[in-house]
Amino acid sequence: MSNSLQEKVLKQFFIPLAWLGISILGAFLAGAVLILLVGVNPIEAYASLIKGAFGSKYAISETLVKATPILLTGLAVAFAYRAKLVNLGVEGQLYIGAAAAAWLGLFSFGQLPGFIVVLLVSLGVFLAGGLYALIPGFLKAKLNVSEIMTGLMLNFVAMLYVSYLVEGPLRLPRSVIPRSPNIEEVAQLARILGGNFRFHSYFLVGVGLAILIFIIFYRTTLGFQLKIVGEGERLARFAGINVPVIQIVAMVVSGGIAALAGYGEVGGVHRYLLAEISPGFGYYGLVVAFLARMNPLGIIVSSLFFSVLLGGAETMQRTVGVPVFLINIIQGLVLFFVVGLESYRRKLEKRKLL
Amino acid sequence: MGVIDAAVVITILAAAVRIATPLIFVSLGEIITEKSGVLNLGVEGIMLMGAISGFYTAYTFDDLWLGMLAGVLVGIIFGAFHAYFCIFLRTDQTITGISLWILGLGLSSFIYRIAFSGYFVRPRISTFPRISFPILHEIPWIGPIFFNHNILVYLGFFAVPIVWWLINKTEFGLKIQAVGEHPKAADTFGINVQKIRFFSVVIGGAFAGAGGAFIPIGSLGSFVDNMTQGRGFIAIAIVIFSRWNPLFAVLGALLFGTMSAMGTRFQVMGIDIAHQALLALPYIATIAALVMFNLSKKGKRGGAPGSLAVPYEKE
Repeated sequence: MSNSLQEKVLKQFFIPLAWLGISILGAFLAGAVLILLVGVNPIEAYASLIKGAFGSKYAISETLVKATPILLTGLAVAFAYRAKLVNLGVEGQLYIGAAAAAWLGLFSFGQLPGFIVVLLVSLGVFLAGGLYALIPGFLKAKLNVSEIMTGLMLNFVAMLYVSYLVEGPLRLPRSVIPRSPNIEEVAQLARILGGNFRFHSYFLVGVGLAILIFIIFYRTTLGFQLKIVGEGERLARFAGINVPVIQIVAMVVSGGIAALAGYGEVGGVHRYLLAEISPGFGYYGLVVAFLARMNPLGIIVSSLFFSVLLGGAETMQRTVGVPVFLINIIQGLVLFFVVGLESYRRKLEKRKLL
Repeated sequence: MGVIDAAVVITILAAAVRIATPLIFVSLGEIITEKSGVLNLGVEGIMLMGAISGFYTAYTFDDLWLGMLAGVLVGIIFGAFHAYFCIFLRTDQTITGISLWILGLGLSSFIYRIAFSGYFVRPRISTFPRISFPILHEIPWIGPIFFNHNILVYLGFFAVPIVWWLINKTEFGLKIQAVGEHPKAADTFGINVQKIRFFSVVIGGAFAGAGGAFIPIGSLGSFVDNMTQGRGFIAIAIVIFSRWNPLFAVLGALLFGTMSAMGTRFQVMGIDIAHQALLALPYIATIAALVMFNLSKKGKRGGAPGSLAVPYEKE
């Protein structure tokens, strides 16, 4: 009994963690080679990166600010991938969420308390993102159109839509860089560490959602249905599951979660909408989800890891001159290590070594 | 409507042909790759690597052809990288392709920053000059639209029948199709499945690199972060609804070229539609085309190679 429990803990927790560590280490070493090629001491570069991410209370707050959208989009990716759907449209759903937050946040809410307003706006944002993800979800479930392709195309459409909003109907008159006016104060998300720090309540919402999704995955019927659909349509139909409905649910919920990341940016970080509301948080979300092998609790860890990289990257660029794009390279390399190690693990499993 | 006369239509269609060219390069390569049973979703990343290496080489050595060659070589290297993971490590081809894209996205901008640090003005190169095709360029409509372009555009269109011939009429092409349809059967006939697939992916990479290098060298004259703007993915969509046929792929590429050209042209002309709506046209049209394709075949994978994205393991 205890032996099998030990084995279970080892198999489900420590081994994945070890693989994750190897992936990250490998990507860092490869990054170090690149830094060397640029003619900079990698240790110095990484030290300045760490200092940039943790150097002050403000730096730590900024690092967590970056973790928030990555965590939320990571969870969004994992939710869809439970049914083996690759939601590459999370970036676009984030933009739609940001647009919805700006629209809703500019309404006058009368005497409603802030808590209720934030809840209402969150709900509206979730629905907007969900509806936007309904397009790839429906097309995949009913017509078998690749959700990867439609999701990606819709990213461009969403970004153009937000650019239209801030240059047109939502533009703050005479703003130099086109932006919307600030959203109503009651619709803004609380800055937990005080007004000078942008760290806001949606980080905690993200952590809560991670726990909730963990429970949904492993303890509910929906989680089970998602998993069966992910294992194969034939099996799912055999089990009496309505495959198209589950696929659509997977995409809609995923889109809703991704949209919340947009509300976090508009309501917590900036207070207004701008055309470049996200520097590709959705793609970071994709990477952290795969890095955590789709485990919602693991995504908390992996998104924090990438937020440290992002948070320190600008300091690294300023002090030692290594371009911030190094982080994007590490992003790609981490994914390669993840898929490469997965194949190695399969090989070991076959030889019954693991 | 007075504003839109024959001259404007010709300008738009001529621009469409130029914009279609990189899409043609990339989709031709992707057809070869997919025919062999491997999916390369990473062509967007390869295009970006082709664009930066092509631009950097052309700028440094002041030689446009050398730039194109660099783009192709880097495409080959990245194609081989993808092939190694998908064919020999048998990784998930979707995720591997996405990894390749993200890697190319970051690496291209990184290299640009390193290579051109300290430049205050965006470095530019002069692109290939236009060559008016003798006699043909005088044909009304057809002439100015198709026969007044730079050499790379002609090369792109010229490659179409060549690739069709390669796939359908040569021994190598038939082997590609065999390993893409029934790798096991091909194997029993003594065809080295993994080798054929490897070369097919590498050739696809070369085409994607050329398509990427075309954008700075044959069209824009400079490098911009993420300058491909999803064209690699549009090329993959074109492959799908052209049913893996190079001849149809050209039509798809021209359709999207026209959409993009209309967007930019109407914006210049100040037509009263939000320019964002026009810029969104090619992406929406891509989705519409995919939907129409799947509707026509009732969701079946019409024309797709039988073993697309399925790794092969010799027993």
